[in-house]
Amino acid sequence: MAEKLLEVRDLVVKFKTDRGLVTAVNNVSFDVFRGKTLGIVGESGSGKSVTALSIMRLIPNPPGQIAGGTISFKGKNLLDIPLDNMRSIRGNKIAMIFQEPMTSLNPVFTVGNQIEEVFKLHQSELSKADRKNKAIEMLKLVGIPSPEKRINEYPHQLSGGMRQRVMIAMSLACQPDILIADEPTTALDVTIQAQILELMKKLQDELGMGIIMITHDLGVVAETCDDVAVMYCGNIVETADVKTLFGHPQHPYTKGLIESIPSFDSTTGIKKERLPTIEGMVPSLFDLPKGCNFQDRCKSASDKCRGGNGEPILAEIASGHQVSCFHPMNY
Amino acid sequence: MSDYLLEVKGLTKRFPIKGGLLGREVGAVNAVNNVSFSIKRGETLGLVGESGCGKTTLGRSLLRLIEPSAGQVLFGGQDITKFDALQMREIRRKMQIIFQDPYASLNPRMTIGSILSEPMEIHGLFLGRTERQNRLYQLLDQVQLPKDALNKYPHEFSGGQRQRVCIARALAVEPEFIVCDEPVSALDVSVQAQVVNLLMDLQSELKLTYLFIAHDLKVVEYISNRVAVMYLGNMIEVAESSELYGGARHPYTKALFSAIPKPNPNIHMDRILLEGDIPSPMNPPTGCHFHPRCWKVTDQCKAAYPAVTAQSQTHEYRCHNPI
Repeated sequence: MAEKLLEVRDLVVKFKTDRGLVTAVNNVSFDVFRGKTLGIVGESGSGKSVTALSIMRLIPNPPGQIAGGTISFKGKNLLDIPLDNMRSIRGNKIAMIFQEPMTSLNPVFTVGNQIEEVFKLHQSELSKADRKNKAIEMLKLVGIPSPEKRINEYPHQLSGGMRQRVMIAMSLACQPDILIADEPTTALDVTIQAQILELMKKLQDELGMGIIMITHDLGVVAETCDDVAVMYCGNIVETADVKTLFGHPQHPYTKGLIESIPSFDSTTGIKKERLPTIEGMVPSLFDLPKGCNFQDRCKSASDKCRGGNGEPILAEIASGHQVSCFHPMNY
Repeated sequence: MSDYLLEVKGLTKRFPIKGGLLGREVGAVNAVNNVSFSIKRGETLGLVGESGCGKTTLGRSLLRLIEPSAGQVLFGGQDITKFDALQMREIRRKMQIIFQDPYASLNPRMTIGSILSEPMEIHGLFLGRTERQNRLYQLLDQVQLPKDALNKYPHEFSGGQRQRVCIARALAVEPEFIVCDEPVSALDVSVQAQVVNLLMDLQSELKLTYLFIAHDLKVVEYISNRVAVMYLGNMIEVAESSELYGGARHPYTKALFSAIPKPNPNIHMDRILLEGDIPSPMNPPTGCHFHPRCWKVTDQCKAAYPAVTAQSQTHEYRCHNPI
């Protein structure tokens, strides 16, 4: 069994808004292991990015607030340590890459400068020349051609794929234990996406970090993740290893998501006449129904789901496979 | 009447680059370069390619929202590039467009009712009060929105519902041809499928013809009868969608399809990983624009741009060393 790096238990994150208190993340628990990738899938507003930001303690407070739970990193609860001490962990032990590489790089500094800054903060013993050499080394690691020249360029001189490589170089500069990737390829074209995902896989094999891959693309999940957690309205509704999840989805929402991907069957060339869909839309977090959050869109919803028995609770139905549903699909 | 609703011949859009003290032209980008294709009545032609390949420019120049630099656009046999403003307004009733971002393409200060009425107002359709009201209800019904939507504002709707409003607005003037420019890219997965189904239902109900632009190959392949692939302003391959997936001849098409992550953890395909980035269209490579990234490149590819090879009536490609 790989080393457990991160253990999140019963995480609750709330936001104060003009319309009242909103629970963006509700009782979320998961683990991240060394050398493994955990996928967090969900639609916009499902709480996946908020979960990631909570681990980094980057939830703006106010309006946000981590209202409960623990986030243990190698046995130490990150929620207990003073915010100032978080700096020695952020970017050093746990690093993050974001969706839009242009807005997360500073346009007025060269990319070399921005990578060197990481060393300045976390490895202050390094000399200036060492920092530069290490920055060049990082750029080489992420496959940027002629890094000695690129190091003096500004973000606008690089393409989207190159910028994301720079972001990855920055995040991996201190060899973190955990890399949180929040939709790292959503803004990129498919051929570039393939390059970046391949690169992340290769670097994980070399450096052995645990990755949290946040995405809405089930294709990316299937190709890169070992374990998956599906989020809906702030809750994890199903979690399993990737093959089980795609092979035997138990929650109607997971099943619906997988089926609604247009697929081409290369062997027959026949396509389904209509795409199976999930009816309706994600309910507003301000106005969640009583009982199961998915009841209005669910074909197997019964009175049980509509509030009589409270919310469904995430329960294990097979080894390593948990689902929160009163009527799971069954094997 | 010909089978083809739309025929495009040698369409080119050139954007000059101004520079220097006097604002002289220092170069040009051929965003769309000598593209020819045709779309049959009732057919959906999918148009795919990566960002900057010219697919949106092509879509817009068909409606002359961007003025093409050269070439012909024959709509129902008439060359609309020669039309004056008045004729253009009339023909636009038959050609509509749906944009990518339903948050940006609806005026936030107008109710859904006035958004949907405006195109009919402009074209003088359904003028009577009750007639207009019935038409509005009919449109909402067609895109499966509730009747009370008419008095609401765009911010009261979700992304998927807004895109339904955009579709209803395009349908308001009873068009024959709709350019769908990335209509589902901004939507969540579960909503995407709903809108794709809606577009397909409307097509069979109203006998519409679509040009469906998207970078999501799975959606394009699903909705289209034929698919055209663009790279740096050129159309490099066109084929029946069922044929293109398995039988792509152009290496770029093959690589593009192999790059899509498959939603099945049990399949591990041999992926063709393309090296490098898309070159700048300001300064495209000589010969075949794809040659610096191609694994089948020969000297011929560096020297001359490949001509169109027609493999069958429906399958054409531009490549010196096809697969």
